[in-house]
Amino acid sequence: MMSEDPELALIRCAQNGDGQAFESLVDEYQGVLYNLALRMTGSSEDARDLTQTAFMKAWRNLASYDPRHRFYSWIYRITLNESLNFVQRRRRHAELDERIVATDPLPEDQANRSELGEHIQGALMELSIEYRLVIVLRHFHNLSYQEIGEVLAVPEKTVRSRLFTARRRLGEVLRLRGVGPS
Amino acid sequence: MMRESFEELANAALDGTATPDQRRALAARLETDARSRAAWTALEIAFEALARTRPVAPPPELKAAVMRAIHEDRAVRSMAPPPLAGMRRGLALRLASAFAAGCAAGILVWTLATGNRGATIEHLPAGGTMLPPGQSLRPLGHVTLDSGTARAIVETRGGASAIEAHIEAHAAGAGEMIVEFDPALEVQALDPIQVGLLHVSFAPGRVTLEFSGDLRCAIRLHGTHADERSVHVVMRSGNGTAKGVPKP
Repeated sequence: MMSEDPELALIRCAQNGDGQAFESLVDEYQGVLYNLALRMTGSSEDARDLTQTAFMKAWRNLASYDPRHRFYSWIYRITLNESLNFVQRRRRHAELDERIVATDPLPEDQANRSELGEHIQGALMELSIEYRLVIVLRHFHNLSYQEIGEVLAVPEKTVRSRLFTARRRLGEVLRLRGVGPS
Repeated sequence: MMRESFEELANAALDGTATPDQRRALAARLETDARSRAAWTALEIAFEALARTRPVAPPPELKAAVMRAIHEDRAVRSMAPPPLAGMRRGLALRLASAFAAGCAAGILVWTLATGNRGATIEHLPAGGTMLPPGQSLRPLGHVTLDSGTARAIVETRGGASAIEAHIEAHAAGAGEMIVEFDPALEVQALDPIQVGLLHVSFAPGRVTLEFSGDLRCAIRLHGTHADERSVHVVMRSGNGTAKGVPKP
């Protein structure tokens, strides 16, 4: 007899209200989801809030989770949607907020930025959302061109072209920030 | 056409999938075309910087905060009435009980938020706002949501550190008002005197108010640059869903 996938067993327990089972899922995925939100927003505080919101949404909607798909894909999509909605909402109000993020980071953000290295997060924030997104999906989350195309609902050829432009612009911004080729 | 060709060669080279022919073609292009050389340099800078970037550890308190929110959500939900869709209108007692629970939750939120722990339901006025006094708030916007016979009017007032959403809604049966806001804002207080409020739930960036019939309440959100942050409202009822953003 085949034993059930351990993750699926956890999900089933969580669907029945088992908080400890859900905590194991939080443990497993908080890192990757936090990093996704961080790269998209440029703010550790916003990333923390968005990650928490995504987990809350997942918890509340566990009943609608379809186990034929990967749980990771499902919760990743929730976090991505939350991040995109947040960035778009912020953009509406937002030149001020963007400047705050860009020029007046919280101490925690400054610490993060030193880990990010060489102004990369600042340069990412200078890209438009669509270019930032393909960089994040490809370089920070290792999605294939095909997977990116599925996430963005665009043909693979469009992904390649968009990624090419995004990388080139990122390099140009980094060059302006004094980062050169080694 | 030329640029697309360079794109293909550069992508293949940088992704490590270039054939020897493609590598040679790329080298020839870089030798003869200054624009391609400039683009290639930018691409190399980007790739090197991205390769040096490491994942950032999530804040240590994140998991605890998620689990705390989930436990709170579970506790609040355990106070909630069963889904209204399947409920017969005659179950007035259950509605009354749920209403009392909603009021209690509201009072708890208010007292926790304001530090006014001496308040009891006997001391609360039967009308008017229970929001704590704050700075002078100016009108920011309003929106009217219509969906069949259901209607909601939401007015927002705000200042540098707080924003209030004043809600009046009516639905023929069960309804739900969702106030979505920038998660940088925190709920500071919820007016506990409502008409028809059955259940309140909180999540970062969202307050959900389930009601039946009429709803009147106000929510105060606190945070920096409060009046510049976004607030969206959604009304759901048997007639469908209506969404809007309060505008001046």
